[in-house]
Amino acid sequence: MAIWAYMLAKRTGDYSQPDGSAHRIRPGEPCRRTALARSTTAPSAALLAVLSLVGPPGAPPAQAQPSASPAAAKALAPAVIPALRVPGPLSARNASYKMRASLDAAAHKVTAHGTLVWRNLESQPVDHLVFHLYQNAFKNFASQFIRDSGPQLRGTTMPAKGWGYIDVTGVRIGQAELLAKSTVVDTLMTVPLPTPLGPSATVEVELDWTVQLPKVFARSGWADDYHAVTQWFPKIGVWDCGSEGNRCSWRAHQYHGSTEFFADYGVYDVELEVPAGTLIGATGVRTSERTEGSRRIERYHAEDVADFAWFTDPRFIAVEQHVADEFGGITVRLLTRRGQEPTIPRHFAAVSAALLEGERRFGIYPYRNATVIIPPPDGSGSGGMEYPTILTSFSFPAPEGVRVLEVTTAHEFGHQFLYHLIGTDEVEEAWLDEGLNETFTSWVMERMYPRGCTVLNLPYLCLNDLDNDWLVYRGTTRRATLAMRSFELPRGSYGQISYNHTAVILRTLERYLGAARMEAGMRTYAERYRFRHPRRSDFTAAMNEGADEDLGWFWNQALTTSRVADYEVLRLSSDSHQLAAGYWDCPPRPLPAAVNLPDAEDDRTRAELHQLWKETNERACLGKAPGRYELPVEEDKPKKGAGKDGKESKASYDTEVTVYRRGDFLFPVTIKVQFVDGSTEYEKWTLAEQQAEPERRFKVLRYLRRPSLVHSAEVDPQQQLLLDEKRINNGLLATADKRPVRRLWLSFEGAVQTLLDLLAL
Amino acid sequence: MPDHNFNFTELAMEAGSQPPIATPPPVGPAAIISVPLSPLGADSSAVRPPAAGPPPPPLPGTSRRAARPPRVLWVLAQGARRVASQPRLLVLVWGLAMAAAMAASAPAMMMLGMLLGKRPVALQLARGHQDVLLGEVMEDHPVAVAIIVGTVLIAALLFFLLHLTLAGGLLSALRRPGHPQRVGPSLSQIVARGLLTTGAMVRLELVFLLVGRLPLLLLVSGAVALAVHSKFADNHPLPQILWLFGSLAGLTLWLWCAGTVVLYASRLQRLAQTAGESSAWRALSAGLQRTLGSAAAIRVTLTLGLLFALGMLALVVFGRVLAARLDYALLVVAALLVRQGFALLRSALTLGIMAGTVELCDPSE
Repeated sequence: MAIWAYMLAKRTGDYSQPDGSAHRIRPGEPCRRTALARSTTAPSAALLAVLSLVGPPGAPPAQAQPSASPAAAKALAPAVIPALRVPGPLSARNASYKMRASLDAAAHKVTAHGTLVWRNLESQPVDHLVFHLYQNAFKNFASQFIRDSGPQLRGTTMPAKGWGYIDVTGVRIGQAELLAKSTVVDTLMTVPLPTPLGPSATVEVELDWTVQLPKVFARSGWADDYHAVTQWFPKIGVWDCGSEGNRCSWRAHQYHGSTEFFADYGVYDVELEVPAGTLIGATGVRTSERTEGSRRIERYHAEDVADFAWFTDPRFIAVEQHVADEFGGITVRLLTRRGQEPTIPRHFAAVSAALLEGERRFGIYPYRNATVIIPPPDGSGSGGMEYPTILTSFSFPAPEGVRVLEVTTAHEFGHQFLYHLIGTDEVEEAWLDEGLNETFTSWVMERMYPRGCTVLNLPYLCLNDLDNDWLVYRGTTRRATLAMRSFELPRGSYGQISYNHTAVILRTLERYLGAARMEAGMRTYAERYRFRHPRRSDFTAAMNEGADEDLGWFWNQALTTSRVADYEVLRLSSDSHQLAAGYWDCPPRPLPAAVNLPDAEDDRTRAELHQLWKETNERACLGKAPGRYELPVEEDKPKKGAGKDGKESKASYDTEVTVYRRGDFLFPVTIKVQFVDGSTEYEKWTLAEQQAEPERRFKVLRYLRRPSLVHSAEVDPQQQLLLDEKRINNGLLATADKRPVRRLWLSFEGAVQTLLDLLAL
Repeated sequence: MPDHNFNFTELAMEAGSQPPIATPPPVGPAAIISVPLSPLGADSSAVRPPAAGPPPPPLPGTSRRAARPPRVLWVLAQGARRVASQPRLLVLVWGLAMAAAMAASAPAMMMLGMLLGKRPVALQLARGHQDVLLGEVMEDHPVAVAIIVGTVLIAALLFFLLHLTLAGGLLSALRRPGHPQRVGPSLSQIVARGLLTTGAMVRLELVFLLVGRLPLLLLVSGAVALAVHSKFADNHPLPQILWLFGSLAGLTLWLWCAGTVVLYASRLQRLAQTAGESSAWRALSAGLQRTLGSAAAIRVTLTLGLLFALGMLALVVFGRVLAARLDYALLVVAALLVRQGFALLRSALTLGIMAGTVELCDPSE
């Protein structure tokens, strides 16, 4: 309940203004926002907080008045069933749609009419609007999408004659018909405004359009009776004047093959008409349903969302489950075809784990419901996608030990937090949603399977989600930086860099900071940028603040360079300790004293060297008259291996360990040196030490007069540095251990022998 | 290419020498070579349909038995008995597989030794805690991996050829005692017999591949393609899909193994052929007649195939699971013993099926 009240206060302090409009809050503008919030909304925050204490979660929506303009309020009918389980508005709601769409299932065509109410959140006026017409990506092979990735996506090829497009047939603002003045280039449409729209002003745009859905291969389309109607309406871009407020432009890129979407938040009220007998899954909550003749009409309402997607299939079956959380739970509806029933509990389990883990880290999931779509096999190109309150996964008869179903569903649900509640730009900075969400997925999987093997748990094969990220990351190291705009990444690199590389970076940071500080950093980020559009600098600043440490050294390397980390134990050796044979002046001049010794690396080495001088002088000079004497090389060497059993032994050894930094990524590492007698030494190779001399790529550790031989040395024994490209070279044994090699070889030999035996079949 | 084995027999026949009826003394390879591949004796009936002509004379020393339908249990018991009575044969088969596997995996041992011998993390890898590092090994050393895979594939091919080379000898060694074509127990005799019949076995294998294996694979592939293209998976629940494809896979394996029994029978017929009638096709036809010529024969053939499939599957799965536990505990020797124990059982099963087929084609009672 405390979180509930806290979030209410925070939410109401974010956006609302007395006239119901709102300003976009830019990074670097906290003071203005705070002042604004304090001056205008503190009473309502207090009121809502009180109300929240009176009623259960979900009750307050009676007070949930959208802060949209009067025009928006007029355009959008009030919902009968609240879409949120917390009072809204939660976002600026500056891009709201009211739409009516009719699906011709035989022709796979959607005919629609809609009204957009858009408000300028920036401090600069705008004289034109930019809309995304995503379905034009499938119009022909000249589209940016096809030129980027070819007629395929994620391994699914565009089917023959599977074209799709969107035709806008009407654009009106008031009485002005603007279609003729509009220009369409590929997947973007520019509409000039009759008069520039000033800050906080609102415009209402009437739109008519038709969508010919493509055969599904890239997120949207049809496959027989199944229709994935996503990115189907003219979606307005994001008008952004930058952090300084003076570099205005529409953040609206062409639909690229790899990257996804970016939009402002709003309220969506959508009426869908489909053939009777067809089940629909859509963003938001269903507020009404009826059947008129051969048509089924359902209406959906969603608040504080940045997109609206819907799916239909007459062969869908629906399974609903209440998924509990500390805020009263949500309703999860799963739509799939018959035959997938055995895997349904696995999807629900993944949603539940993702919901709980997400709320623990990022705060409440504010919507009442979530819908999971399992596309049919020939519609799998639409699987593995996220939309507000609705996601698509996939299903196949995977044994329990193959947990890719859970991974996919958990990942897609995680996007409800990372891309949706925290509205990052999936086109320019995909790593901020995909990468963070990939990290989140690994946390969810670890929550589901605390004993490990979170992705594969099979005989002779155990693989964690994080292991998978690391393996994939290794394949694309040195290729590009995360700071690069995502759609500019070379083909075949987007997923690896945006998803897996980011996850490895963040899990490395987590191990460096510790789980608590990492969570604090992520929570700071989540709270500060909920329902906003943070960028890279916002993320790093929030993390620094939450973790209470300036992590600039880390971010600079991890985000803006393609440096790779690789530390190696290059060599280690132990030799019998020998007195310093040779000529010695007796009495010694100067006297052996630590202060007179040359600077050594550390106090311990200085002390050991001092000890060596002292003992050598004693041997060379004891009982002798002043003069120069030769101390011969010790004949009777202590036998190597003495002391192995840990028994008392007079033998002593000098050990040297060389650690080598093969990579360019600097990271503070610990070095563990183990001796045969069981004693262990830990050394630090600090960041400052490495930064002082970056080209001094090695560190030598010396241990003199140890009673035992060295056994092994390991750099980063706790595996903090997951970014380490090569883990095998992190350790070195003084003597080869044949057991593991024998075991691996004989296992392999057994497999080969089995293969040979099977040839007899 | 001429078949020198049969040329030798032809020469013997042309010289007017009578094929030896009694079992030749097993004194060495030379003695074996002097034995024609197929005396015109009891086994010649195997290549003829029952109604093709008058029955052949009985073998000396054996009473002519009445035609009796083969019984499954009897065939299995006799097969097991023959394998058990020839431990050297079992050791030969098992030892060859082990030696071949050891040789084929030697590059892997060397690579693992070089890469992991002095790395502490190898211990975690061996215990199954860091399987991901196998990915690092394979990604960073693609050439070594290619060499290892190549070596295994070459070894598999060579082993398969070796298997064909020995097939004649093994089947001959599993003949019932007193049979004129029986060889052994000396391993050298068995090997020599196998070498003599290699060409014939290879030709028969190719013919069987053409008319047996490939059609089966095409049939199964067609069924799978039909199921996929008919969108069977879209319209049926998961258990039904699993049942269908599981059944199909099981049936394929069963038919494959039953086919192996037919192949063994055909090899026997090939061994029994005289020089004049030597033909892989005829041997296959006779093998089919022997194994599928009657309801009782079909029953035995299918039972042998089922036993072969299930037995091999069970031995592979249980062997891997049991050995895995020992492997992760780094009980290397125990794991090796378990693995080799199961390998021995697999060899025994293979020989048992061979012996069962021999019994089916050449009943000892």
